[in-house]
Amino acid sequence: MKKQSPNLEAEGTQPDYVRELLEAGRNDAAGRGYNVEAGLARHLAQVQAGAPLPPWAHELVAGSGGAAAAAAGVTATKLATGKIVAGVVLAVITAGTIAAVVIGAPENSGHVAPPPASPRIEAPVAPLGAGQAPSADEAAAGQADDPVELEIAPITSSRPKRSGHAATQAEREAEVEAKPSPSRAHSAKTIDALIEAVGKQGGSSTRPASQGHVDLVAPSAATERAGAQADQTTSPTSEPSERVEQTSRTPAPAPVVDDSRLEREMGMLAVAQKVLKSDPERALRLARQGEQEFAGSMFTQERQQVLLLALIELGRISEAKRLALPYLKRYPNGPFSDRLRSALAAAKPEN
Amino acid sequence: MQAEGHLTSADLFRQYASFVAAFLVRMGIQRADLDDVMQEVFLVAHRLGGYTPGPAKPTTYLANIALRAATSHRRKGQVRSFVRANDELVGSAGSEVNDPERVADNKQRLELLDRCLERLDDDKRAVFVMAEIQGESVVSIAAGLGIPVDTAYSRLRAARKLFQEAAAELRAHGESEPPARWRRAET
Repeated sequence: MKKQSPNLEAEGTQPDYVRELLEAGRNDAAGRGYNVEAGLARHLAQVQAGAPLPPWAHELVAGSGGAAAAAAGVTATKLATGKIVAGVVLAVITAGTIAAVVIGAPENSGHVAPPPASPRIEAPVAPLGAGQAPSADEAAAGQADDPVELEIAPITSSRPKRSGHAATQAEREAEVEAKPSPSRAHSAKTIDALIEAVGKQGGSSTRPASQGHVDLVAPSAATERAGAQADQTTSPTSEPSERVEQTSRTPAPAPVVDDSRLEREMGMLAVAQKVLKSDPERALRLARQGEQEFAGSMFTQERQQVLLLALIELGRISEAKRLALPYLKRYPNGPFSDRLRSALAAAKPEN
Repeated sequence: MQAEGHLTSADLFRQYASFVAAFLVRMGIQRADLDDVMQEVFLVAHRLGGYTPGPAKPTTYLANIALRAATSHRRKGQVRSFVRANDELVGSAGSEVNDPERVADNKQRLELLDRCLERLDDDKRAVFVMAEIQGESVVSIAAGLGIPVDTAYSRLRAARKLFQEAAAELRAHGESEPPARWRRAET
C-alpha cells in the first residue's frame, strides 16, 4: 500500500482506496447493461406520438434560441459574455437606483424614492463586443464576447429564484465570481500574457521549456521553488514588504495552492487542450511549462495526457510511446488512459 | 439542410445511450427509473434539434441534459436508496466475472463509490463523474454544461477534495464494510 500524502488535492498521491473506487466506476457495466434497442424503439414511438416535454425541460428548450445553438451546447463563451454584460447592466441599474434614492430622498422628505421601473433589457451586447475580437484562447477560457441571449431576470433580481438547475448553476457561478481573488478578472483574459510571464520565469529554472525531452515525474524542489517564485513575481496581492518577508523565511514552506496560482495552471491547461489539434507544438510547450511549474499538482494526470497527445499529433510517436509507458503504468485505468492508448494505436509510424 | 456531423436524437441514442445510462446511474438514478429518465433525456435532445458539432462533444451535450433530468428526479424524491438500486446493476456486471470474492469486492466498491458521490452536489458530481469516471476533458465538459472552463475546473477541484474526504471518512468510520482487499491490506 502506498504511503498516503497529507495533501488531499495532489492527484499523484491519490490513495489506493480512492483510485480503486474510481476504477470500479469506470469498469461498471451499468451503462452497458442498458437495452439500447428497446430504449430506442420507445424513443422513436414517443417522438412520433409527440410526447410532451418533461416540465424541467421547458426552460432549456425555450432558452435554446434555436435548435442549432442548443444542439451545439450553450457554450461557455456565451455564458461568460452573458455574465459580463449582466454585470455591466447590474452596475448601471444599481447606480440608477442609488441615484434615484439620493436625488429623490430630500424631495420626498423621508420617503425613499421608488427604484426605476424594472427595465426590460434587450441584451445590448453588440457595442460591448465591438472592437474586442476574442482570441481563441479567450474563448477557451470562457471570456469571448459573442452575442448572447441573456437570462437577465435572475441576474438583475435581488435574489435568483431557486428553481431548477439554472438557478442553482447561476448561484454557483456567482459564488465563483465572488471569490476574493483580485487577479481573477484579469487571469482568464490575459492567459497569453501569463503564459509569457511563465515562459520568462521558466528561463531561470533548472529545466528550460524548450529542451528536447520531457520527464513525467513528481515535483522536484527546483520546480516547486520556480512556481513559488512565479507566484511572488506575478501576484498583485503581494506588497513589496510581504515579498521580502516571504523570501527571508527559511526553510521555504511547502508551496500553497492559492487561487491565482490555480487559475494560471487551469488556464494553461485549458489553452493546451484547446490548441491540441490546431497547434500541437504550442500545446506541447504549454504542457511542458505546466509540468515545470506545477509538477505533481492535481491536474498532473490530465496535463501529461495532453503532453503525450501533443507528441502524437506532432508525429513524434516513438517519444510518445516511450513516455506513455510510465504514464500508463502509473494510471492503468485513469480517466484519460483509454484515449491515450487509442491515440497511440492509431498513430502512424514515424518515417 | 443539416450541418455536417449533425446527429439526430435517434443517432445519439444508438451511439451514446450507454454513456448516458452510465452517467445517470452515477448521478443517482436507479435502475427502475433509468429508462424513464433516458427517454426524457433523448426526447429533449430531439426537441433541441439533435446535436450539431460545436465546442461540446455529443457526450457532454447529452450529459448537460441528463444532469438536469437527474436533478429533477432527485428533487422529486424519486431517487430512493441509490445504493440498493445499484445492486441490480452490479449483479449484471458481476455476472461477467467468475470469482465470487471479486464480485463481492466490486459490489462493495460501487456502493462506496456511490456513497461518496452522494456527498457532492449535482453540479460538482456531474463534472466529477464526467472527468474522473467517463474520461471527458474539462474543456468539453465546460462547453457541454455551458459554464466557463475555469468554473468547471473549480468544481472538479472541489469535487475531488470532497470525494477523497468522503472516501477516507467512510473507510475510517466503518460505515460500510471495506472490500476484502482493503481488509487484507490493513492486516
